[in-house]
Amino acid sequence: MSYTSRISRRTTLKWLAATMGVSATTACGPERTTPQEDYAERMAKRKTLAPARPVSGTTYGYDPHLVEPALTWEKSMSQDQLDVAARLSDLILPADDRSPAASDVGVPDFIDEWISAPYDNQQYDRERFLALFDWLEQEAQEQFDTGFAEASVDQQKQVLDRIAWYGRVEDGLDTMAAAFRSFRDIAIGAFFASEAGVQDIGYLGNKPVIGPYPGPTPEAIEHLERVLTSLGLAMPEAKYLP
Amino acid sequence: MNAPSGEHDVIVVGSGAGGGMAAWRLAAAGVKVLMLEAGRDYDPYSETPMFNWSREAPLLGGGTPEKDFGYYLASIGGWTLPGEPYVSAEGNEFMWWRSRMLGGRTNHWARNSFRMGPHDFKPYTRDGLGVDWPVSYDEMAPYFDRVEKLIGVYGANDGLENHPDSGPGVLHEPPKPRINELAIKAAANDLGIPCVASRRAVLTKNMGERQACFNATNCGRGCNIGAAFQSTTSLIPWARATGNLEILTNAMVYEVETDRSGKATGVHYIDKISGEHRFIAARVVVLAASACESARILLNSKNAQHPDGVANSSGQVGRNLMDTVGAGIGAQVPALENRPRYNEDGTMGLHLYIPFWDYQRQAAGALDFPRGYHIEIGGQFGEPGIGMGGASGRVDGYGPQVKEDVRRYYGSFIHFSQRGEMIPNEHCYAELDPDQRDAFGIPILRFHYRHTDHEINQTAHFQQNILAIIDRLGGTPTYGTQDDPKDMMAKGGQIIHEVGTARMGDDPATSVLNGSGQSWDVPNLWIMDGAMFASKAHKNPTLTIMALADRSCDHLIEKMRAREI
Ligand SMILES: Cc1cc2nc3c(=O)[nH]c(=O)nc-3n(C[C@H](O)[C@H](O)[C@H](O)COP(=O)(O)OP(=O)(O)OC[C@H]3O[C@@H](n4cnc5c(N)ncnc54)[C@H](O)[C@@H]3O)c2cc1C
Ligand code: SF4
Repeated sequence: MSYTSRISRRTTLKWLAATMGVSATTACGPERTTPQEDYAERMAKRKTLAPARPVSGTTYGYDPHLVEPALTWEKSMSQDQLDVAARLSDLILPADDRSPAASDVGVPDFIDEWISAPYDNQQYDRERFLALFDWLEQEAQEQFDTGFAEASVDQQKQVLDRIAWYGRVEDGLDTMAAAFRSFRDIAIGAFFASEAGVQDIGYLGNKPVIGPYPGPTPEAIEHLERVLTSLGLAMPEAKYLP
Repeated sequence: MNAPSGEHDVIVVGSGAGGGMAAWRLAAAGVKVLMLEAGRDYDPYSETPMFNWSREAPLLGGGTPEKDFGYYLASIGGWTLPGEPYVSAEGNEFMWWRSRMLGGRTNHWARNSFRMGPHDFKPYTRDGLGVDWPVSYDEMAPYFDRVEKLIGVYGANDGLENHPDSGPGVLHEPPKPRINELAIKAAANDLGIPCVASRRAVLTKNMGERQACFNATNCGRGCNIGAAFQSTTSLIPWARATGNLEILTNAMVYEVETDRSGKATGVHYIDKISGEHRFIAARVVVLAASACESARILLNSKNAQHPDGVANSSGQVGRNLMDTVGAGIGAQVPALENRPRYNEDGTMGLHLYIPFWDYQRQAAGALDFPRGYHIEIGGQFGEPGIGMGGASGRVDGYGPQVKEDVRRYYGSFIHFSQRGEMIPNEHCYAELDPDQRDAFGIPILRFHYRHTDHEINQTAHFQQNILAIIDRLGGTPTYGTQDDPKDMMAKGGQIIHEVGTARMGDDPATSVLNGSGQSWDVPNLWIMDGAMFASKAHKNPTLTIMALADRSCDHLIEKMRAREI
């Protein structure tokens, strides 16, 4: 992946200035390092995210095995991209006293599965998400001289704050903001669908309950009664209640 | 299973609701039946992913063009089928859901089973629109009882106008409602709108080998304990057990052959495995390939005697295509945030619903639309997945608040689906495309579809009433509402209740079938799927398809015994 093709206009200007500086100093004599040269070297070496592998494999077809599902495509994100996806999903869903962070339950892997799927919707997300990762990386490099994944949480937040909040998206970044929101939706879904997420949210189903369905618990009914009272509504007749 | 023994009297085409019922009734009466099914054999006992979590499926089980309603849905096919396209005429849009497997769409249908009532069978008499059925509710009532008893339906008898009670002891106990359903009921009742036990083809007590619902596992995946009705755990195995049913799968029927005397001699089909074209003779042919497919077979059965297709002297085959009028509105209700958790799976589908309630004002001329609709309601603590039932759409930014917000909003959403009656109109029909053929060389269907003010005004009434319910609960709509009701209406076919394409009637000039489901033109050709419908009441059609098929079989057996056919 060519370095110049990834840099924004703002970076291009800086880069040109640095190059000019370098030529100027090298013309001056034998000293090996100058501040400008340092900068140029750093810029030259600075990290770009290793690209994703091409999409490979097939869709699962009209009649896949339902009881034992299998992926029919390869995951394709590079380690760099997985690192960014991990930090991003952990910023969205950090660990707290009820559940671990998103990356602890494999959210980045699911993102990888998602954008590697050879379906149109997922390929649409692939372009947006990979562009989002690149943008995050580039902004971190530019502002803090470090990769997004290696940046401090404060630095990551500074980058993210430009796109993450409704009504506060920086001009010209609407596309990134939309990609971020889609990423967030999928990360949230993948997180709460995990075993830890199911526990956290308190989904108590997918267990056989033999005999008639018992209906809401007394606690849930009491809560409903309070709700209905506050709305000036009557509780349904007894035959509808547990 | 690729060479029939040739011992059959009757060929049944299709193995879904209509074909399953026909095969069972005929086989139980001692008639030798050969069933031809275009899909593959399907074994619900080994193929149903009962307790699989979404996270075990690709893409968290979400929909793709190959599995429109999710990975685990027990359906082979959907809006598209490989090699079997269909088209809509320019300026029209119709969606056609097909499933190619033993049991057809009964493997994954939602099991909502509302009974048609007296108004529904005589709609023309009531409001001068459409046509009356050649049968009345009173004639149908015993068949509804019989079918409900046979397949198992939960529900309650509420004595409401045009929502008939079932006979004593027929219904299974309905499950207790969940919290959001109770909240909707409280608000609806406050506004004078009823909200009562739903009716679904799900057992809540054991019936023979079929067990009562154990209140877990999505019915759309199929039900391997037999609680949710599907023909593959009941009608088909029962019919097979009589020794009178033989099944040929991967058999794609494309033509009914008739002789000079005007009788059907058998059917042509393609063996999808070998690609061979074959003919099988039979004394009687029963088509139950689903409403549009049965019409397609008839239209494709052209010969010198039947230039417009067999059984089509009326020109009505493919016409009068109807689907349920559908729209959906969702809302978020702050009062339901942070509700106490408990297991809300229940029977997975509706426990309560809103039946149409405005018949009196309608009869008095106070409404600007004829006929009715019902509302399927919901909103519960479902299995977490993408979207989180609406919760993930309400978070902002990132950080600890995101998890907090998802927890808070989870389970605070409600939704309402309009399921309304459509009046047949001349703009809605299916015909053979003059040029295009499918991968088997069979001409494909081209659809025409248009709603009229009847359906649009009905949708406006739905929206107005739902907004009132949402408002009464202090909620805010999250999706579905529109200034122009036209913009919220589902496309033709999208509610997957397509019917009417070979309607029954009293007059051979305006109907394809007589009141028994027998072709006016070809006495040994019967149709036993949704094609028979003379109107599309707002009640979901499958229960009625089965009740009509049951009744048709009585008449067919009688005629066979009397050697009339
Ligand atoms: C997701 C979903 C939810 C639904 N929910 C409800 C509900 O709650 N209540 C309700 O009443 N209805 C519901 N329906 C509709 C219901 O499934 C249909 O009304 C019902 O299955 C129709 O029965 P049928 O026998 O006419 O057709 P099908 O069940 O479709 O069976 C037709 C069979 O014929 C076979 N076939 C087709 N063409 C040929 C051919 N040329 N040769 C040989 N075989 C052929 C097919 O492969 C299929 O197996 C739902 C449908 C879907 C998809
Ligand atoms: S919820 Fe009940 S009826 Fe539905 S699939 Fe599960 S056990 Fe069967």
